[in-house]
Amino acid sequence: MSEESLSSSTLEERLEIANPQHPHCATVLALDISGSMQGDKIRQLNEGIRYFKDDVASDDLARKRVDLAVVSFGGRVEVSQDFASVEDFDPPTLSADGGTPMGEAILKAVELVRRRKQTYKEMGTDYFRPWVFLITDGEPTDMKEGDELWTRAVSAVHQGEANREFLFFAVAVEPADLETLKKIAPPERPPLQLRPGRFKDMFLWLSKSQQRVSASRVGEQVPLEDPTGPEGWAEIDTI
Amino acid sequence: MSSSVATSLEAPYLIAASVPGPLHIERGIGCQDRVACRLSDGEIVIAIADGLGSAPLSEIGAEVAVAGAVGLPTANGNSADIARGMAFAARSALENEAESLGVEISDLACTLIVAVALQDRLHVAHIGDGAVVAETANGILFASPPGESEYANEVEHLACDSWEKNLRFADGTSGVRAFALFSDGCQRAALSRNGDGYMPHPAFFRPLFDWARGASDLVSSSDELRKVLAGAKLSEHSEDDKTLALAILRDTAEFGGDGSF
Repeated sequence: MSEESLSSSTLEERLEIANPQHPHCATVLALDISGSMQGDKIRQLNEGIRYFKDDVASDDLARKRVDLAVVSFGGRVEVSQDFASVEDFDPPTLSADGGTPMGEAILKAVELVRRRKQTYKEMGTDYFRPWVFLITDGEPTDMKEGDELWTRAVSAVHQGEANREFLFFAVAVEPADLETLKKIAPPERPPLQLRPGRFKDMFLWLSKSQQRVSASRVGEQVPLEDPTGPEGWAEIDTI
Repeated sequence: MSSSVATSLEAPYLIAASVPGPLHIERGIGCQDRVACRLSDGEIVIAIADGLGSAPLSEIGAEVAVAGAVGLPTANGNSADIARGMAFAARSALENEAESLGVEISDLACTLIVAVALQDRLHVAHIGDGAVVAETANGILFASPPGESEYANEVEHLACDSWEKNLRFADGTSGVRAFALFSDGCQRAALSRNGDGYMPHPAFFRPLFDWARGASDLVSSSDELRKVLAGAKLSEHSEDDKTLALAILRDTAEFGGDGSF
């Protein structure tokens, strides 16, 4: 302890801190692990998740503030990892198989976010606007445009964004149906198309973005690094 | 603020300090909080502003906002009108500075709290977070709580289009013996939170008010307060800049000696 802080320790020691908690940022990764992801893509996805965890955990603030959950969808929807602090997050090793129940996965991710915010409120924890980060290489096989599940899932995304409940990002991995994904993603945030082989760069961007949010403070929009620059990991379809 | 040295302090008086947060120090960003105050004819006038990290000139915005607020002449005005006038003066100062620098007013964005205290009445004008907490005969309670915001990094500020709509006034908290004004960097230390919202934490404020009442020198007291704000206890869960001002309006002796309620 420095001499300076020793001289003030009497008053400092007498103060009781009201809410000794960090504010938290809840992030859900909604990951397509359907059969088409087999091989190199699922390997890169698994490596990317581990890399993301390690990079976020290397930042002092983000390590204490980011809470992570994983919803996987391949054949069925599964909460592969319920919310945990990034320090306690155990990256699942995902296997690819089955169809693409994206509609149910979106609803599950939104439900997880809502429950997490309720937990924060009950604990008196400050929190940032949560993120849902959807990665898919296909098109939904559990819903078609206009059917009941489609209406519920798309409405959950669009209204959730409009009501500022969360931030929803969609990433299309080749050969994803970008046209369908554009209808699912929020109008104000169209889907990004992952450039081939750039999983790790995408997860690095996500990690840096989470670190920026963790350090952001009141009143701010958090400026994110543009992922679509010449060296970026993504493209945005302008058509 | 008075810089005179005295063997004891006669109320009303004010002790204030402002420090950069650990994250700001780490990144070489200066403190973006600012505080200004004036004490004359028994009236305390104080303003604090917290510049937004995302606004490139927010420390300038915070500086001109508090100077504009406290620089407003207050003679012959009633305290409620003065608090309102100070907030509008702060906004005008931002507009003028933006024009003078040739920048958008959003580049100067900051939150603002202004307080005017005369005898035992306190008037506050407030936009954004941070808060004013008063010690009264009814206990330690809010004179003005933080603005409502679901998210830790989203709140109104003086440079936004809806500033006038979001400006809140707390007129005439009475029976005030002392009060504390602070920026959001102190919030997690000072305020507890549950599903119903924020509450002042008495075990944070009582030691502070007791200490402030026992102060004998404004300069050394301000220095001691600065060290506490920069110390490990308050920095552990808050990386942000911290400003805290403590105003003593009535000496303890007038209320029977121990300051209890």
